[in-house]
Amino acid sequence: MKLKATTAALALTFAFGAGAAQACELDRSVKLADGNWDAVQVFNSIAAMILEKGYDCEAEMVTGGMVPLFTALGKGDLDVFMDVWIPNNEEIWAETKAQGAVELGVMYDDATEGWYVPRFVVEGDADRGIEAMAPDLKSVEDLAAHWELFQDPEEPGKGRFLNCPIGWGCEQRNNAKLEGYGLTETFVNFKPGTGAALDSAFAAAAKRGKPVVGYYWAPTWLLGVHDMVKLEEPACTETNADACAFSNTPASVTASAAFVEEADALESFFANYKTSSAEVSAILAYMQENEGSTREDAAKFFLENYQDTWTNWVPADVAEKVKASL
Amino acid sequence: MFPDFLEWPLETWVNDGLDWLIINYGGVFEAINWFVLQILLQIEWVLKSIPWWAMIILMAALAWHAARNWKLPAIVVASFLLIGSLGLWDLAILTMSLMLVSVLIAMAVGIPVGILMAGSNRANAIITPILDLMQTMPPFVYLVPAVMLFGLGKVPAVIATVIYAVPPLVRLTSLGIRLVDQEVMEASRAFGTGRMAQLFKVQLPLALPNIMAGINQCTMMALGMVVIASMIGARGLGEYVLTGIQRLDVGKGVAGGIAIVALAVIFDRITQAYGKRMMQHRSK
Repeated sequence: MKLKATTAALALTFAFGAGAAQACELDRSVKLADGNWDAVQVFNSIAAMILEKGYDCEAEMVTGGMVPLFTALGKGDLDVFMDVWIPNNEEIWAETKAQGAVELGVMYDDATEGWYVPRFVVEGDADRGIEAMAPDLKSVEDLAAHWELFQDPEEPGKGRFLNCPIGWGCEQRNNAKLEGYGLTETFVNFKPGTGAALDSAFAAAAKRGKPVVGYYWAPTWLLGVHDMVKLEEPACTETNADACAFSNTPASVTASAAFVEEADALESFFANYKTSSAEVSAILAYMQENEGSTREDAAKFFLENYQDTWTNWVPADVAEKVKASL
Repeated sequence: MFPDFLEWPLETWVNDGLDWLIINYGGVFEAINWFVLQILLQIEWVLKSIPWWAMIILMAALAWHAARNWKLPAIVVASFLLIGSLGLWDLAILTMSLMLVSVLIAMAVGIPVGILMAGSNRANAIITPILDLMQTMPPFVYLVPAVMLFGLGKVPAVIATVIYAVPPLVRLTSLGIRLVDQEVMEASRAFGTGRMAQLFKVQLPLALPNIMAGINQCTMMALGMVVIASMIGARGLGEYVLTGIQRLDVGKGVAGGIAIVALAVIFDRITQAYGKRMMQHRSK
């Protein structure tokens, strides 16, 4: 009995001697909110690799819709929710925060949203033999004059504007904008139901050289692969609060209050997780262009090629362990 | 680990094939899209222009015609009133037209295929695994390519619904014909009935109760598909439920769900009643 205790004590000392990062701070797995868009999934895969190789933690990804994920974060059922665009989810974030969640930091602040059309609609594409369809289409104000280009087959008297899927924060903002820009007369406010449906509508139109207009955002693989232009929107003033340009949105890392309490080292890792829109687009484009590559492949690609970025997130010994595992 | 050299690049083939279809045959799919959409819009327009009370009376009359008693029309009227009182009448009409078009297309495809399967063992051997595939493949797998080929909205929803709903109709049609008594067939042959006449005058009428059961199953599955179809932008009750779920508005989800169930009850009972009447007709 005594011998056992001594061995245990020895083992403990040894573990601490070898570095604080040897044992995970949590005696359970770290639960990451796995939203249904690519960027957050790659972030989660990168974080999971660093957690597993660098901190000897277990990581678990939990899938779900936006609202259920927020609810779970507030209740402490989830630990970390990355790539949260707080300004787009103000209401639900306020609730989640009140329940018990904190913003750890901003991951990148150069993400953009807007209303996009494929570039060939405005400029044509000589290589594919597409003539410019609307050379004077520059801003959202020009849309009304060009609605026929975007004709909705189900309601041929109007154009079709592709809004966000229902439930995304941007959906209601776009509703207000359509109203504010006076486009409800000429455009159908079409809600595609899911992100996959929105993507495929844009991708199919771009591949076939057909005009399409709708909401999209960067960083995304779609904007990396298909060349699109963002329509200009009026700057925001006091009088047009509903109908004005999206501001660049900061993407934050959020965590449950319980997690922040329990795990200091892990908290500082997530708080230091800083990247940029360009890096994210590069990862997403890598995924898209390398068919059959998984999110884990993309995470590995990032860890191998962007060491200057991610080594700043973690202490040197953790970084060494992650590098060694590559 | 499974050895790498035994893997084959199915994913690449499918992606390249789909790209090839989109770029080279986009026009063909657009034409199909246009054709299906016209049927859909016509039916939708007709259903929308019928006032609510007239719709209830019409469906109650249909229910009476099917069942020849007053219980079924009472259920139909109550179900419609429930949908209306939940404030979901217009959405229910959209869902009904989507379902009707899907079922019509499923009948146009499913019944002939069922006849073919009943008549030839080879066709049976080829088609059965395809039906198994259609019934087990997760709908999202074909929903997204349907969007890429047909664009967002009602038409890919109809196509996906047909894929989902047609297998039971095919199977039951084939089963119904195969169950027709061999003695009856021999007797009709003895009277010198030709193959076509045999099919239309003997086999199909005797198989009708089974075919009706197939249509019933097909209708129920089409209604079950409406929520999934709303994920690619088909409007109607499914969209309402989806909105409820995605905003965590449970009340909204339940209200929409109840309306879908009410529609299901209406169409289930009416098609079943027709099936029963055909059965009685046959036994006379």
